[in-house]
This record gives sequence, C-alpha cells and structure tokens, in this order.
Amino acid sequence: MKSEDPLAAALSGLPVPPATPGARERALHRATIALRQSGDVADGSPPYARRRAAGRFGMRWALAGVFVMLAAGAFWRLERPRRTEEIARQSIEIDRTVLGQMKALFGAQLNAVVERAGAAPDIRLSDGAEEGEAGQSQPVLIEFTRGGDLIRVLGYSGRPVCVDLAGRRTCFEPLATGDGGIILSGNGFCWTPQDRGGEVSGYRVATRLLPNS
Amino acid sequence: MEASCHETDETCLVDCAANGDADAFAELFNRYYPMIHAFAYRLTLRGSDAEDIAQDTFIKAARTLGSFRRDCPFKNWLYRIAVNAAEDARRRDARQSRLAGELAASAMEVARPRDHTRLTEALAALGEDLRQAIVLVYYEGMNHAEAARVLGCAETTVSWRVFRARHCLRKALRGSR
Repeated sequence: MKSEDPLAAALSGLPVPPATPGARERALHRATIALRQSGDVADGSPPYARRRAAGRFGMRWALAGVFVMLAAGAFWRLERPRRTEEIARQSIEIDRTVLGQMKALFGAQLNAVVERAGAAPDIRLSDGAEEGEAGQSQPVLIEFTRGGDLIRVLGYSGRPVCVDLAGRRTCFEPLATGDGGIILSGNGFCWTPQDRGGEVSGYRVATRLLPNS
Repeated sequence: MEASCHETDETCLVDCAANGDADAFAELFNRYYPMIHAFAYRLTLRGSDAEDIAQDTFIKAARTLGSFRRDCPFKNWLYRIAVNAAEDARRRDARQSRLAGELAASAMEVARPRDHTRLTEALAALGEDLRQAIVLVYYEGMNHAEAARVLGCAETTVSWRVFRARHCLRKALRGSR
C-alpha cells in the first residue's frame, strides 16, 4: 500500500549512517552497569539457561528433574565463567579505549575519568603542575560500590583524583604496587588490597590494573 | 509462572533481564540497538545525537525494566523511551546551544547524495512532533493507534500530525525541484 505512495518512496531513500566504532559497545557497557545498579534487581537471580530447566517438571519427575538440574548446573559452571570472562575482557578493553581517547584529547593533563552509571563521564584534569609525568603511568580502574551506587574511576597510578562518596569529597592517589596490586593513599586513610572488606566512606572498593594503550 | 525459556523467546529474555541477567539484556540490546539507533537518527538527523539517544534509551531501559508492564510490545516500549530521550536531548541542546562547529561537523558526517540532502532538509524543517509521527508511521511501520500509544497522545492527533507532515514534506520536496 505504501509503495504506491510517492512520499513514502521518497522517505525510504533517507540513508542512516552507521554508528561510529565503539559507540555500540560503549552503550552496551553503560547500560549493563545501569542494569547492575537498578534497585529492583535481585542479586544472584538465576540465569535463563538454568531457569529454563526449572519449571517443567512436576513431582512425578523429581528424580529426572534433579538429574537435569545437575547436568544444567555442570554445564552452567563450565559455560558461565567463560561468558563472564568474555564480558570482563570486553569491559576492560572498553575502559582502556575510553581512557586512551581521553588521553589523546587532553594529553598529560588528564588525571582521571570518573563515571557514575547513566551520567556523562566526568573528566578530571590537572592544573598543569604535574604535566610531563602523566600518560606514562600505569592505567588503573577503581570501583566504589555501596548499595545501588557505583562509581568507576579510570585513572593513572600516582595521579590524584577526588570523588564524591556519600556526599563527602574524598581525595586520594591510586598507587600501583610491584606485585600487581593497587593501594589508595588518601587524606586520612590508606586502603590496600589486603583490606578485603575494608571500606572507604562506607563504599566497598575494587581495583584493577588496565593494560597500557 | 515459570516460562519455558528459549534464548530467542523475547518474553523470557525480558523477564530474565529484569531479574538482572546481563546475558539476556545483552541479547535484547543486540536485537534492538540497530533499530533504535536508526530511529533516533531519523528523529534528530544527526549521527552523534542518534548515538547518544540510543545509549540513553538502553540505559533507561536497563534501569526501568522492572516497571515494563508488558501491555505493549517490548519494541514499542523502547520506542517510547527513545522519543523521551530525544526530547530530553533537544531540551539540553536548546539550553546549551551547542557550538556551531559541531553543527558543521555533523553536516559533514555523511556525504549524502543531493536528493538525500533535500529530503533531510525537508524532514529537519518539520516540527519535532510532526517528525516523530512521520518517522513512527513511515519508517517504523506503525499504524496511527500504535504511534499514538508510543507518543502518549490521541490517535486523531497522530493522524492530524501525519497529514500536516505529509503536506509540508510534499510542498518542500516539490518546491525544491
């Protein structure tokens, strides 16, 4: 019907440019963070592969059900880490790319990129005093989580950064250690990887070294 | 209510994603990102804005999946979020009055053939509400009732907007020949 309409034919000629490289991956990455943050998410809810096995069997088939669930569990244990690793690998790659792009724009002045899911990344620049050293430092990722709140800091070892934690401005320097760990040295606190469960201003801390771009 | 879940079963994917399953969400994302990106481009006619709107759409979808009531297709729910995201982006644009350089850059984004430039200009000249209606009906293939649900207005309003948009487009395309 519409093909007879010359206006519809003219409209159909409008080309849509493809998304720029990385835009789709960034969107998925940020949306996944938002999904993790969403308040109504039940932690540890079963993946659909396992749920698929769950509701089909009645009491009569309990034994068969148990067997299937064990088999599904075994499959899940083998398959899930692989997928999780793949997602983690992609996530690191995106973080590395974002940091690389910001470094290309701001050069040695770049101290860190601070992300709060859903919000535009916040670029932290030095006032120029530290120019010359930056960019050659080890890139690092620090995640602060409390309840549904997640703050991600993409920065460099030895470069100072301040974030707003529970309404309090918290400044620190991430320091990469020789054994591949990261220490956070801040005003009035020092967080080390050995502080498992240790919190900063009520936030749990997770750190990771990022590959150099 | 246990669903018999298949990875291709959209209802199941939505349920699982609403329960925090990142794999199910990624599957939905991969399924609908190209559609939403193209939709956003047709609403804004700017590539960079389309990417932002598509990203915002999926971020908002991720946050509010739990409130998706399933009284309309998931796809239409995404369209609705995208329309809102486009309106938000337009308001931000108006406030911040983006740099002229960015406009120039976006004009150079795609080397469009002349006919497309004319069509793009004609679409750009439409008001936002007229463009939303024409994009939903002509590009996304919705009938007026479906478009009305996405836009949150009466079906007759959509019909009127489509009529007005068609009139303007015809005039613009004829006039530039």
